[in-house]
Amino acid sequence: MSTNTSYVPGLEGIVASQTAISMVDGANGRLVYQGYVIADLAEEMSFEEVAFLLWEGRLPTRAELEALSLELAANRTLTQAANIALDALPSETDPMDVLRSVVSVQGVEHRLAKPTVPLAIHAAASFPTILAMFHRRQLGLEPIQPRRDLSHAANYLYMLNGKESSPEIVRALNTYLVLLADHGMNASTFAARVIASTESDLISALVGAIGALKGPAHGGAPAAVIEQLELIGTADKAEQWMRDARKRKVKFMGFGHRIYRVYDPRAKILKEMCRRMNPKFYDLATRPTSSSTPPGCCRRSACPGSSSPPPSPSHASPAGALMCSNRAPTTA
Amino acid sequence: MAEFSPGLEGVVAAETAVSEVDGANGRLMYRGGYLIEDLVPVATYEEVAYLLWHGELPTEKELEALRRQMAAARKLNASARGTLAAMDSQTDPMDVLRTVVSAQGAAKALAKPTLDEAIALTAIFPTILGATWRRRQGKDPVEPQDDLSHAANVLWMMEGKEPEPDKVHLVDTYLVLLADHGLNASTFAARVVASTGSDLTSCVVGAVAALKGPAHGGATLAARNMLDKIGSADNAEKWLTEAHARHDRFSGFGHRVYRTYDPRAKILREMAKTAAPDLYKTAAKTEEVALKILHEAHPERPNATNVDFWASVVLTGAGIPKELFTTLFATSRVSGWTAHVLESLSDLRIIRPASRWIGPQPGKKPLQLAKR
Repeated sequence: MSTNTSYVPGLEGIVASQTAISMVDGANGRLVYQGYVIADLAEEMSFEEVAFLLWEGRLPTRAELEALSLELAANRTLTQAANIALDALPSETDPMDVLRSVVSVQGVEHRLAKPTVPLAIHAAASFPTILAMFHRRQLGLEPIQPRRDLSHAANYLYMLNGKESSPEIVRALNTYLVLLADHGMNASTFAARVIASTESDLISALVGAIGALKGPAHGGAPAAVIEQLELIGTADKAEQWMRDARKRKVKFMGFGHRIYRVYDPRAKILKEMCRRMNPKFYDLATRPTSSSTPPGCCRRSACPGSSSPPPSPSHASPAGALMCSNRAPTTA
Repeated sequence: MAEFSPGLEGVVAAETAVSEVDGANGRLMYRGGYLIEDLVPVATYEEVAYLLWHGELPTEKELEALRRQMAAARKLNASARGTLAAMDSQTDPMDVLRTVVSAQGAAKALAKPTLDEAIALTAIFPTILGATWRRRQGKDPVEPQDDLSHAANVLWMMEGKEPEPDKVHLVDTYLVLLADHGLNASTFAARVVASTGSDLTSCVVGAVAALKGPAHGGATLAARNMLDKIGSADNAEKWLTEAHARHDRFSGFGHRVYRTYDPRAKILREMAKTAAPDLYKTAAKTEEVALKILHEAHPERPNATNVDFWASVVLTGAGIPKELFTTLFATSRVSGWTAHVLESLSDLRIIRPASRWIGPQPGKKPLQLAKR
């Protein structure tokens, strides 16, 4: 037994597991998937290729990619139980609660099964369907059944909007999915590993992870960014709004990260994409931090003696703007 | 970077006053400093839940208020009923629990965990357990009864008849014994989820998901399955010797924290004598032989019987089918999970440990698809 008996809040700096899936190199602002730096994957690879990389430890051959795409496409339909359970939830339910509940139903089993790659594929295939079906129900629209001939990203948009999106929009969502696919031992991943450590099943691990991702300190962040940008309204109001907000001790959404000491590499890629795709929103989103040095009005730097990293936009800020331009549910 | 402790063994991941496991001395202490063996003779599950949530045992008036609040929260809402009905009746009961708790707690807006929610979540578990069992039997669910205790409602909603006081007492004592146990895996899962600022239902769903594992809550069923295979006291020596030769693990023995007899196992062992006399004989012989074999193989290890071993006998005596053992465990532990989440709110910091990189060095260049 280790003799490390002092309490470490948040387990910061404690090595809780060994992994080859992804590494967050905070000091150098790098995110690495299985040896590949994220910048080399983000705009080149499909979500399917990156998912294969995370599951198998290497990029797929053409035949392997086709097999994976087919397997994903074949498992996009919800089970009867999941459809009924989805309908049982009120249409104003928080989409993350819907996801938590319906993933749980979709994955029920008679007997405990060990996690496998095929089970991971089946689960991954169902997420867009659940979110899109629910999103359409909230809008009072008929559900759109998934299509087998579209990619993961393209099919998601198709199920949301009922029509195919432009290649540019599909590409943007694909890049977002690639960028967010893994990120070291973050809280939701860690929750999944804690659950898996009891030899529970894969769906149980995923349901626990969704519960953790829901928290505003974790996956809930992009939605909060959008809300703040909407409150700010226009680029020329940004400076005054942020200064007033700081006086009122309002948290700035989309800034600060426990690990990155420099700019989050995902934020950099998303920022560039946002500039290309949605210049107006880009203008608004970048105004408070248009220089490379953010103004000293971030919640963390406002605390004297804080040992937190220098504030820099986390991925949540451009991600929020991007998701807004896609008209995808911000909790996706 | 710090050393890697597999399973975070020995790492202090939280400060807590909810319960303390003193493994060296074989003691379990609940909030307020009460030893488990002192609580069992005097406190019902409701009183212990109150203790875990508030830090003190309730007065008669406070207990009455809690009972009324639980009684008012025992019915499934429309989302939970619809979700329950959607699932195949033979679904794993822990999957049913995970899903129905999730649906019952589905909300419009994110809310901070509260004590009222903790009480409501705790109150709903027997209802889900009872309905799950009756669906498995092809029977209609039975409505909860407001004037019955928590433990009595468990049996009532399973069986649909007035439960025998002896059996209610067995279930109640089991619920008291299992209500909390330091930073076990499911409680830790709940605290990890809570650390992101998520809601109480998400925390409890994550905890149910963790409890399902055979290395955690599923261990009671494994112990009972082993006793079923052994069959009788006469067969224990032969069966265990053969199993040991095959390198099969004995279910119901060993614990990471206890270096001596688990205090809960001690209490349950006594209860098992009258609760299930036949199974007790098989279990007592099994325990004797298993400890002998384990000690011969690993004299350096503290090979003690754990709570799951004797719980499996007592629950059998209480008439709980083995398929529901883990669900009943959850029915008890939910008060501990929620107490931990509520406690953690006062010093909420996202739980985000480090990991050791064992993959390729960064900078590998991806090949285009055509070249792979």
